[in-house]
Amino acid sequence: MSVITTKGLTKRFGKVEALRGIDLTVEQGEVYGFIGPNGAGKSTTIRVLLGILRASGGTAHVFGRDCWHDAVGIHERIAYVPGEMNVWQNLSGGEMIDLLVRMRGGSDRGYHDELVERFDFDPTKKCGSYSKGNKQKIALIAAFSSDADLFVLDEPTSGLDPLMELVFKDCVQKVKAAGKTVFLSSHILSEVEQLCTRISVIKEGCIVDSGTLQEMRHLTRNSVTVTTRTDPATVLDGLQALVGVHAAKVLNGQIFFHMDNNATASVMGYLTSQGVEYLTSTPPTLEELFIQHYNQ
Amino acid sequence: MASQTLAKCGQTLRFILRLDRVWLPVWLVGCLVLALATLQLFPGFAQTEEELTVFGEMLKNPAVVAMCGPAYGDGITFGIMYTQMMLVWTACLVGIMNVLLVLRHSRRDEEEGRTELIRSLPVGKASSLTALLVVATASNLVIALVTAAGLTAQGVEGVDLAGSLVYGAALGGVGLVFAGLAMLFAQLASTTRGAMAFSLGALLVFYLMRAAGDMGGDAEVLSYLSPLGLALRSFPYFDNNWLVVLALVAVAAALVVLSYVLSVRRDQGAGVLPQRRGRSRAGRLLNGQVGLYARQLRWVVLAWATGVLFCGAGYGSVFNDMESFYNSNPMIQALMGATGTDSYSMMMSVISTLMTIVACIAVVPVVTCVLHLRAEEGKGRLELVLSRKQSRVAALVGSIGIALFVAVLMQLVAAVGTWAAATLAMGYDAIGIDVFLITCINHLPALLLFAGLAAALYGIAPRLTPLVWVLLVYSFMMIYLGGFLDVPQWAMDLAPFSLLARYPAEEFELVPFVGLLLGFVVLSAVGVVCFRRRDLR
Ligand SMILES: Nc1ncnc2c1ncn2[C@@H]1O[C@H](COP(=O)(O)OP(=O)(O)O)[C@@H](O)[C@H]1O
Ligand SMILES: [Mg+2]
Repeated sequence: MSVITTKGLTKRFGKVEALRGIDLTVEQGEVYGFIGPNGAGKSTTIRVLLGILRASGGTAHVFGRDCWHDAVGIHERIAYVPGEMNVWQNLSGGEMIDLLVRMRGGSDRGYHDELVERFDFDPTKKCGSYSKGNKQKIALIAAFSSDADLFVLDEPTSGLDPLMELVFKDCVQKVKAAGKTVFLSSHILSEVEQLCTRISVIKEGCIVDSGTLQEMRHLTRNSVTVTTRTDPATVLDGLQALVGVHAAKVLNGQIFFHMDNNATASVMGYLTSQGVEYLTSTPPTLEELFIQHYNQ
Repeated sequence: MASQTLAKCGQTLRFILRLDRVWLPVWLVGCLVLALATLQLFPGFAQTEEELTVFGEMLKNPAVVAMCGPAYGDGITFGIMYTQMMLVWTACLVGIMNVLLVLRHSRRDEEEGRTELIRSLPVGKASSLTALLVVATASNLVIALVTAAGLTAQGVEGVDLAGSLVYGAALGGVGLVFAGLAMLFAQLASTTRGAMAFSLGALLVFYLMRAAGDMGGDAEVLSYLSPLGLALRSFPYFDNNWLVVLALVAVAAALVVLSYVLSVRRDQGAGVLPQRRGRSRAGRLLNGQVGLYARQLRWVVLAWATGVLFCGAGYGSVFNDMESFYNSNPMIQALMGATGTDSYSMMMSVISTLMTIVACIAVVPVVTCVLHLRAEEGKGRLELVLSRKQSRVAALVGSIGIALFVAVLMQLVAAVGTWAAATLAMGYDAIGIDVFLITCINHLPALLLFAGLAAALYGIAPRLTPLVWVLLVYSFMMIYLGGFLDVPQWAMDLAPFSLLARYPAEEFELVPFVGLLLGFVVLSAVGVVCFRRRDLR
C-alpha cells in the first residue's frame, strides 16, 4: 500500500493558487525527493498532508487515511521537521526536544543521547539564543529519535553546516535501512540526488517532472569547463561524439559542456588522452535546470 | 566619529515610520480619545453649584483617591475633577504605548535578527536608538500638544489653556519616562518577553506606589518617586506646576543616556543581565499541550494574581476611612440618606462597585490564557504542536480550561485580599469573608463569558480577537462612569458585568448567573467547531 497518495490536490489562498493539481504516490520504504525552487508549493503540499491546511480540491491520503479528518491519528506515525523552525524562547533546547517527542508519543532514550552528541548540540541553552542551524537540530533530533513510520522533512538542512549535513544524511540512510518511508523536500539537487530513490519536481504549484533517479538522469548533468593541450576544436568534435555530452561549445579557448553523471568515466578517459590542463565540474543549480528543461 | 555612530539615522527613522504607519496613528488616536473624549460629560455630573460641591466631597473619598489620585485645590472645578478622575488612567495608557513602541523597535528587532541585518549595512551603532528616540519624543509631543489644544477647545468651564498645557505636558512627560524605561530594559533583558515584563511590572508598581502615597501621611514620598504620582502633582487648573514636567523630562533624559551607554557597550543580541542555563532534559510535567501552555503562562498569571491581590487589598484597606468619611460628612449622609442609605448599605454598594472593577482587571489574564493560542499560531509554533498527536479540540479546550482555572484563582485571590485588608484596617471582622467570596463568585460567569468570546472569535478568525478587548474597555467605562452618567439600560447591559445582580448591594440572582455560564459554554463550543474547520496560519 502507498504511504502517501494525492490526486489533483489544489490549494488556493484567496486569489493565489499555491497548488494546482498535485499527484503524488510515495511507496512504503522509499526515500522520496520533492524538489522545486522557493515558493513552488513544497511547504504548502506538506502542510496539507499534515492536516494543517485544508485542501481546496482533490484528495490527499497518508497511510490510506484522509489527511484532514484523520490528522491526529496519522500524526502518531509521522515525524515532521518543519521548513522554518519556530521555538519557545524560554524552554531550553533539551526541554524542547523532549516536549516534541512526548507530544508525538513514544521515544527512544538511547538514540536521543546519541543524536545530541552526533549533532554536537548543547541542550542547556535557552531556545531563543540558538542560531538557525541549532534550532534546526532541535527538530532533527526530535524527529530521528522517534520511531515513526513516515518522516516528513521540509528543507531539513537549511542552516546546517556541511559536517552536520553529513550527519543528517547518515540519519536518513539509517532510517531507510530500517524500512521507514522518507518524504524529503529540498531545493538543493545534490542532496536529493544522494539520498532519494524517486523524485518529483514541483514548479509554480504543478508537478513538472517525476520518476526514478535513473529516469531523471538528465536533471543531474554537471557543467564542465576544461582547457587541453590539443586544439580545442578537435577536442570539441571528439566530445560531441561521446554519449552523455550535451551543449558543448568553445569560448576563448576553453571548452564548455554538460555531462551526464554516468558518462563521467568515458569523458574523463577521453579528456586525459587529450592532455587536460585545467578542469572544473559543477553540478547544475536547480534554476539552471529549470531554464534548460522547462523553458521557464 | 559622531557622524559615524549616527550614520543613516534619517533612513532608519523613515523606516520606523513606514513600518508603523498604521500602528502608531492607531495608538496615538486611542490615547487622545481617552485624553479628550470624556471631558464633555463632566458638566453633566453636576449642574448646580451645590451638586459640584457634593461631587468635590465625593472625590475626597479615600477609595477614589487610592484609585485615581489626590483631591486638591481650594474649591472644586471641572478641570480639577477631570484631572483627578482621568489623568492617571490616560497616563497609564500613554505609558503602555511608549513601552510597546520602544520594545518593538529595539529588543524585538534584535531578538528576531533584524538589527543584525541593519547593522551589517552602513548604519551607525547609535542610529536605531536615536531614530527610535526621535519617534518616541515626537509622539509624546503630539500627545501633549493635541491634548492641551483639545481640552481647551472644548470650552468647558474651569478648563483653561494654562491648565490644559500642564495637563498635556504631564501626559507627555510620563510617556517619555516610560519610553526611557523601556529603552533601558531593552538593554538589560535579553528577550522581548523579559523587557516587556520589567516595563509593565514597573508600571504596576508605580501605580501601586502612588495609590499608597496619595492616601497621605509619611507614605506620600512614594507618590513623588512614581512618575504617575509625580504627574498628578503638577496640579493642573490649580498650581500648574511646570517643575513636575521638568522633573519628568529630566528623569526620561537620564534613562535615555543610561540606555545609550549600555547599548554601545554590550554585544549585539545579548542583554546586560546574563542568560541562565536551562536543564538538558524536560521535567515530567512538560508532556503535552496543557503542560506546555501552563508553563508558558505561569509568570503572566502569577504577575496578574499579585496585581489583583494588591488591588483588592488597596480597596479593602480604605473601607475603614470610608466609614469614618461617611460618619464625619453630613453632606454625604444627607445625600445618601435621602435615598434611604445608611453607612452599612453604602459600604455594600461600594464593595459591589469596587469588586466589579477588580473583576474587570482579572478578565485580562483570563482572556490572555485563551488568546495565548493566537500568539502561538502567529509565531508558527502551533503548527509544531498540531503536527503531532495533538488535536485542535484539545488545544482550544485545554486553553479554555486553563482560563477557567485562572478565573477561579483570580476571584479567590481578590476576595481573600480585600477581606484580609479590610479586616486589618478596621481591626475587627466587620464584613465577613463570605460576603467577599460570594461577590467574587457572582462575577465569575462574566469573566468566563469574556473567555468564551475570545475562544469563539479565535475559532472564527484570529484577526477578530481584539474585539474582546474593546468589550472589556467598554464594560470598564460602563462600571466606572455609568453610575455618573445617564446611560440607557440597554447600553449598560452590553457589559456582561451589568447583567449580574449587584451583590452585596442587591440579592444574589441565579438566572443571570446561569445565563452567562450558558453563554460561556455556547461561545466556547462555537469556537471549537470553527477552529476545527479553518486553516492554520
Ligand atoms: N498562508 C498563506 N497565505 C497566502 N499565500 C501563501 C500562504 N502560504 C503560502 N503561500 C503562497 O503559496 C506559494 C507556495 O509557498 P510554499 O509552499 O511556502 O513554497 P515552498 O515551500 O516551495 O518554498 C507561495 O507563492 C506563497 O507565497
Ligand atoms: Mg518552504
